[in-house]
Amino acid sequence: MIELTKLFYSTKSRIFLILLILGMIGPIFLSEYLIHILIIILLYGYLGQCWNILGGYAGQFSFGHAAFFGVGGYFSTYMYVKFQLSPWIGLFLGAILAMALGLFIGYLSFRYGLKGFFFALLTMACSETLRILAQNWMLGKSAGILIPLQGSDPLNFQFDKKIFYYYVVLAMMIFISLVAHKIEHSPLGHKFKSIREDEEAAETIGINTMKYKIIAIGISSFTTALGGTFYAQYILFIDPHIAFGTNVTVEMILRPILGGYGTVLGPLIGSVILTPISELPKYILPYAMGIDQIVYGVIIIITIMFMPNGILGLFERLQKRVLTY
Amino acid sequence: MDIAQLALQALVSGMLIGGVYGLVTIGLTLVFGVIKVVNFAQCSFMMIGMYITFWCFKLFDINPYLSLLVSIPILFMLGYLVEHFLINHILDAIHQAQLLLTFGVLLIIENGANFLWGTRSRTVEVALSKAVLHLGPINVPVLRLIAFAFAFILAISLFLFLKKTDVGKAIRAASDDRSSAELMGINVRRIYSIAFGIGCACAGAAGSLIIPFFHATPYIGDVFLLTIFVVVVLGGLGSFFGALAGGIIIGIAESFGVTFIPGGTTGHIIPFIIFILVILLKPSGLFGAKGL
Amino acid sequence: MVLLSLKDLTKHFGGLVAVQNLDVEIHSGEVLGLIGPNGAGKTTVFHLISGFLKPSKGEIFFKNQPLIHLKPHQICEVGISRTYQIVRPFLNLTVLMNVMLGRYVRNNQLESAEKEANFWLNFVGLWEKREVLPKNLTIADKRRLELARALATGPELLLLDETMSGLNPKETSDMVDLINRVRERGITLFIIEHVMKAIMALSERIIVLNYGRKIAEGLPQEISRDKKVIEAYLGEEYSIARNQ
Repeated sequence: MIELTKLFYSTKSRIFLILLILGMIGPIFLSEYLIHILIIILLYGYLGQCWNILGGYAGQFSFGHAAFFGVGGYFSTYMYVKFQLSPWIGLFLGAILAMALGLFIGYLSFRYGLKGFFFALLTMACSETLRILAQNWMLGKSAGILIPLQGSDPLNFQFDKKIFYYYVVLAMMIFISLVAHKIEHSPLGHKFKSIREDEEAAETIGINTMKYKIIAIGISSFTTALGGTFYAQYILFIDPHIAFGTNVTVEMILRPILGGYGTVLGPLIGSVILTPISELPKYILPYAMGIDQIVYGVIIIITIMFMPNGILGLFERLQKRVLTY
Repeated sequence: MDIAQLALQALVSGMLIGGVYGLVTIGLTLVFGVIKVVNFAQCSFMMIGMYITFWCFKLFDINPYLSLLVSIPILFMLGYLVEHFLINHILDAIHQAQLLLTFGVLLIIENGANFLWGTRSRTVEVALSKAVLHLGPINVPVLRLIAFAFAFILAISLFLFLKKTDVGKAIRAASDDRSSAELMGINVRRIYSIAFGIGCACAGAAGSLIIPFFHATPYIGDVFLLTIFVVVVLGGLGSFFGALAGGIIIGIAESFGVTFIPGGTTGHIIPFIIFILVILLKPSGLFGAKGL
Repeated sequence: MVLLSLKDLTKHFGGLVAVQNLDVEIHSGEVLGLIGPNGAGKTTVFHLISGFLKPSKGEIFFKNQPLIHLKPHQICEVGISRTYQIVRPFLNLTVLMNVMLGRYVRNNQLESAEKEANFWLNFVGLWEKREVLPKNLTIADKRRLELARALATGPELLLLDETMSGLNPKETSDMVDLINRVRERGITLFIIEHVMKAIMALSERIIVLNYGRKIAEGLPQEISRDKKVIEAYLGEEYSIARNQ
């Protein structure tokens, strides 16, 4: 993507600041339900950006990112329920565990430069395997784990009002956006992109593609797991399907793809558009399971065929047409 | 039953299902070889085959093996249309786009099936369902034997089709060198659609063959995808023989896992463990995963 | 000083032998040309040197250091860069970014790498187009971009694979000038080329490959008169006819 950010920097940062202020104060006036929607938008925007670092920037498409999400969620929950370890600590430790898993998967697939399909399926196999293992061996098995409701217990990551969860996830979103922004404007990010564009050519100009792919998956898996812990604490429940099911991965992939992969704002834009869309079918056809996934499938196909660079890409194309007039 | 008997039983059982895995993988291999696209939704097409056979049996009392005459053409048509309208447009896109597209197809198929038919598991009860052939100490379920036999026959037929017929030769030409094939007057786009149709038909046929002894659910494709993937890694996305052999090996491994490892479905992760071992020790697969 | 040496270099692809028992020495500062009919194995030699293929037999030494166990990016670090027969710029990244990426192997600082990249863009004449995406460049510009990117990696030895391919006569002559300027900076060049005029003008020495084997080696004038070389390109009958 052309770095228009350089040209429009001050306008963009002004808009960003306004949105930030709105974002921090606005929800005070909203209903619990609307805050919930905002939380979901931000959470999936966050997760989408986590995926984006590996997929959109470095070009390695993981179809099993739920594995990291679930590891984070299950670890902190298990440690809290069994050992009363504060989920804030569990959050961090779970992310490290997920990162170890990510590095292992990365090492396995990137070692011999095996191609994209291979990595995609390996990650899918990983999340499926974890789901099966959780079903058969994890505390709670298929039924999952209920986190005891304490009302207000901030030290153990529980709040009585949704708005506090909102502020946590807002902070996470800001954090990951800063990470993405830093990556975007650094040699690291440039190298990621070169690997995405043409891995062999990148190797030829001295870029250690293996090293950078490993770095990418390390960052991606760690940050994704944080989202897993957040979600478990938010709904006070986790089970194999919520943790490791394909729908989590799909939500993560769709945001950057729709919004614009390999960008800072793409995942958030994708989430702002997608989350309401996925809520809609639940109203119109509340008994139809899986309708939202069908819609997602259609959106993926349409996006790939007609706007491969996502909404941001479309926007850029239109901008160029207007500018060259 | 002592351990040896159990093991032998698992071996035979696994071998038979392995033939079916091989058939599905052959379809995948063909598509990849010709179009250079990996069909993520391959196992979802297999699921459609399962449901077609189920409905033929339930509504019209058609024998599952006879329903192959229904499922194969339908899946072929389905695959042809998917290739023609969707995949054809992204042939030159980056491979990530292709992954995503077939993944999107997977989502639509699986959840469409869920929407239409619900998550209740379906199976087909035939007269031979309980029939077992006694070969010495082993009990060979007749249905699995028949499935294996059909899978094998279909694989051989496909092989001959590609070798002897004009269409088959055109497919092989297009897969070797697209531009040359075009210059020779071969309608490459149509060949691609045909190849994809055949690939899906293989999956659909496999589905029809196993529903008599497997339960069909909309998401069963996810479970199979895991297994098929390991077959691919083992056998390589290049050869028929590799696909069949890989299928059988994985079938056996999985069978052993299910037999000897406690914990319900845990046994299904045996193929995955094998896969990790193969990657660590011999990453080009047992038969050379060329083109992967 | 011998910069690069290929000793008994051989590469099989199953039953097909692409390169056979190749012995080549390139001296520091020299311009060595590599020619031969299509399919003679020339690009395979480049793939072997740059680390994308492992030889079936033989050795490659760069400044007396063996290369065949190094990964491609390490080979770049050691001082060898290349361009491709079919250009491979990073399509969705700007011209400037393409060259900066080449610079990172020597200088990982964003600002100074950018300055140095700009130097190379100037050198090849692409500075005005630095914010353009490669897909909007002409083939000549794309080749210049790839050259700039390779030069930014600070190589001692540069492998150029058919840089003139697809260029019209004016562009070809510009490219020859550019390559001469590269050579003036002391960079050793190993050039594959089909455009005879260009390679005769640029090379100090030429090696001829046919069916993977070296069939001739020497000065450009000698090569153009060598019977075996003419046979390889035009067939035996032409050679016989010419000598009558």
